[in-house]
Amino acid sequence: MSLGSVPAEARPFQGRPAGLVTRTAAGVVDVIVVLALLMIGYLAINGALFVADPRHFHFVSVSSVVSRTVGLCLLIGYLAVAWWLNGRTYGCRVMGLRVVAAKGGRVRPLVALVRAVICVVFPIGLLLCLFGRRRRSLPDLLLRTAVVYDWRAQLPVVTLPAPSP
Amino acid sequence: MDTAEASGPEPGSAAHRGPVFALDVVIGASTLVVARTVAAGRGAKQAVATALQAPGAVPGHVAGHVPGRDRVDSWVSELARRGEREQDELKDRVTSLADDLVRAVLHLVLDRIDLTETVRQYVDVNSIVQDVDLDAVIGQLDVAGLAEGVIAEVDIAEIIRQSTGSLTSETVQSVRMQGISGDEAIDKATGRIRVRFRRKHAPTAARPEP
Repeated sequence: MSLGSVPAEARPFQGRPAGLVTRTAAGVVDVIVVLALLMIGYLAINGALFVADPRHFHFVSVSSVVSRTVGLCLLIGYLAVAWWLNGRTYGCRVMGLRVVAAKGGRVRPLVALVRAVICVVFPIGLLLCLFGRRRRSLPDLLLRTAVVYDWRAQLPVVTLPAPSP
Repeated sequence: MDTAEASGPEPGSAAHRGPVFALDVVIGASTLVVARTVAAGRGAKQAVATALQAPGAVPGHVAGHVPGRDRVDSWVSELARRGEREQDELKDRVTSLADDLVRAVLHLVLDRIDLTETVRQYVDVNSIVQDVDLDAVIGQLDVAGLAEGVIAEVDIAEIIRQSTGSLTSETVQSVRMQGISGDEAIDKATGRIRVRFRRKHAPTAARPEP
């Protein structure tokens, strides 16, 4: 796949492992997306209840435990499906990142799910990418995945650079 | 007398063919007389002969002497065919003339009036529209087909491509490049820390044991 759609100044970085800043920014965007989805779902449920019985309508009260659990499950599902299908979430798309397998292809569904669980439950593991030239976080080390710069729309065959001595 | 009424005209005879046939005969005879008179007036002997021998004209042997009953029928039939042809020709000419005349008059009239203004002034369009059964009109329309046609004409894929492509606008590219720069900056900082850490611990590691 050609780099014709990628600006010249960004072409040298394509396929290289992404660092802490871009990955954190992508994560923040994804969290915002999931929060927006939660809000939309909450409003949709209340809207349906209002339509069904307007006289006795009142906003549904949700405990913090339930809301957090639903939010975390939604975040895990969102990340897993997005990484499995296209290698990128909306946050990754905004920041020009893609999650790939060890050989550069798309990650398998189970790998994507486990990676999402690790990222959500133990986000501090991202700091491991500060150490080492291959910028691997904890889930990358455990699951042999990588996050690379990729500004192209489609999933390319990415060849990860060999670690420098 | 009774015998004659009972038998009536013979089938196929001139008297049996009715008034239209008689009219054709009269017209055919008239045109033939006119043609022969014109030819005689010109004094062209050859032209007279041509008029007599031409298709549709009365055969020479018929015109030259007193015919028998069959010959009279043949002559009359010939005159009738001639009259019918003349009628058809005349109809075509009159129709063509009427078409040209109506067209010319219509153009003259339309050039001299403002039709839109005239309709506005004399026609109550609202009452006409109120009488129109719009539901029936809409019912006759293939709305689904129209919608499909419109959707087919609109390149939705291209619109989606452009809208998603807008994500790679200059703003997003700038954010991405700033992210890459941030990654590089952090790499340099951690690299310096690693170097200092190694320098700090290297002499200790290389120190020979006493």
